[in-house]
Amino acid sequence: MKKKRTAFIKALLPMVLAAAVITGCSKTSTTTASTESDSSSASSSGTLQRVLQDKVLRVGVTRAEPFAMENENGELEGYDVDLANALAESLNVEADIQMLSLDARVSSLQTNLVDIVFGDFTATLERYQSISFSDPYTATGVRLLVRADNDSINSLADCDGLTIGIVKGSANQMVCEQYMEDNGINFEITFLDQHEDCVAALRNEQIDVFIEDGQYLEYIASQYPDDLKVVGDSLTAETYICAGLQKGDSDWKDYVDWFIFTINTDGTNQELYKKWFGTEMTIPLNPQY
Amino acid sequence: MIHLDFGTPLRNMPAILQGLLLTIELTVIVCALSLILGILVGFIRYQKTRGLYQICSVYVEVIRNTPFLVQIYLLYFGLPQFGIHMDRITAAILSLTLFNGAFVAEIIRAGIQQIPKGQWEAAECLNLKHMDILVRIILPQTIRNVFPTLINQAVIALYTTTLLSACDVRELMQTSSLLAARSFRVIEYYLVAAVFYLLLSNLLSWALGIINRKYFPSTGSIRR
Repeated sequence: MKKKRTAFIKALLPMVLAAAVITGCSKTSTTTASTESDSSSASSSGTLQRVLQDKVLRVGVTRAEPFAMENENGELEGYDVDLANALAESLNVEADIQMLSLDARVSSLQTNLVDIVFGDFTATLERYQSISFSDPYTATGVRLLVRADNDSINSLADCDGLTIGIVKGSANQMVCEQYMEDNGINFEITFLDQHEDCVAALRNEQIDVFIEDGQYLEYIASQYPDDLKVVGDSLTAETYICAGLQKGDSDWKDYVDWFIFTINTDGTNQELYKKWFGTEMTIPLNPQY
Repeated sequence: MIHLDFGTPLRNMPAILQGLLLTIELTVIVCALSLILGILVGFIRYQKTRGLYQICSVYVEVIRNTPFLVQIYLLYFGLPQFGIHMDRITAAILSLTLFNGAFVAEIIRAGIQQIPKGQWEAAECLNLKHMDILVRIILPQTIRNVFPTLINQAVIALYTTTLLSACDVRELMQTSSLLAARSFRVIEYYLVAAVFYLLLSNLLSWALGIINRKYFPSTGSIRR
């Protein structure tokens, strides 16, 4: 009988220890958070302090030409990459830029994998509940990409019964589902992992329409001028592209907002936009100073 | 402090269960088909019949030495450029069967080679034809010997279905991923998916283990 009891206790001990460690860990993290907020009343999570201390700014970008793409040498370049480098330069630190998939943009901020996301990131009310955004640095409209020989599609209203491709994690998912609900039109939505998968599927006739930012689609259409074309007016009111930030860090947000204000007023933003997109930014940014 | 909200996955449980159902269906179909394919190819690789052996060798080597994700991409996005169109479920089942079939073929071939030569010689003494020996004497023993490895391969087949999210097959992984992207509850949804995969793989190996003990008992596992 004694042997059985000690064996039982020996089995229970590691589980009790594990439970203690787990609750202990979560307790420690809450105490660290509260001490940080007590000691430095200026920064709640201290992203700005951390960036200045470690001398590195961790940036997430997504592959959406020409926002961010890899050139022949394997280096990242693009509109978002240039903006990230300008921000790092203003802080006098190095930029550590990594490529994220579209649906990793929100979770990478929630788990503190990156300090900021420049990733063709549209600010929506749903997203604002989980993460924060900077002021907009550019704006775009959502349009349709179809095969060049398809004349029957000019807007989403013509898409009854067709298949629409959307990149997983894109804000356009909500746009399309809302449209379906509001207008009683039924189409099938296919979610693929990457932008180029959707382009390939469109050319393979596996989907009929690809819905994405108008700017990106114009770039793709220019790559395949004979096969694909962009149609449709903007599906929604202009969507504003902002940099993604972690929630609750007002110091960092103030800094990034002022950075964007600076590049807007001194012409840097317009210059970079023209460099990568070939045209001027036509949609006025909101807020206008 | 990250606040975990498991209410969201629980509210969307019907959708997740539909994905789970598709995963189970795909796994069962693929295991059955790849077993048949694997036995056929394994035989041919053992026999070394002239033309077929070369074809099967190329198939097995290519499939085993390339990642499954590359294969599904080539099959689903690459083939249509040569005019071969197929819907997503067909592409999924085809690519998974080819992938697992190659591994099963190697398992079966190794199993046949392990059967002691005495079995062959005794069967030949009884004047049985070669095909008869293979099918009625060697194959049952092979399956009995390699069954644990085949159970392992079935679990691998289950995990390989997660890669089908590349072509939007709404199995458990893709469903969780889409729901997570919609509500931003990433950790919660993937934890739920992990729990389901854990239960599923345990169930699979347990069920196959019962079949193993009942129909292919080896001396070590016969209950006295």
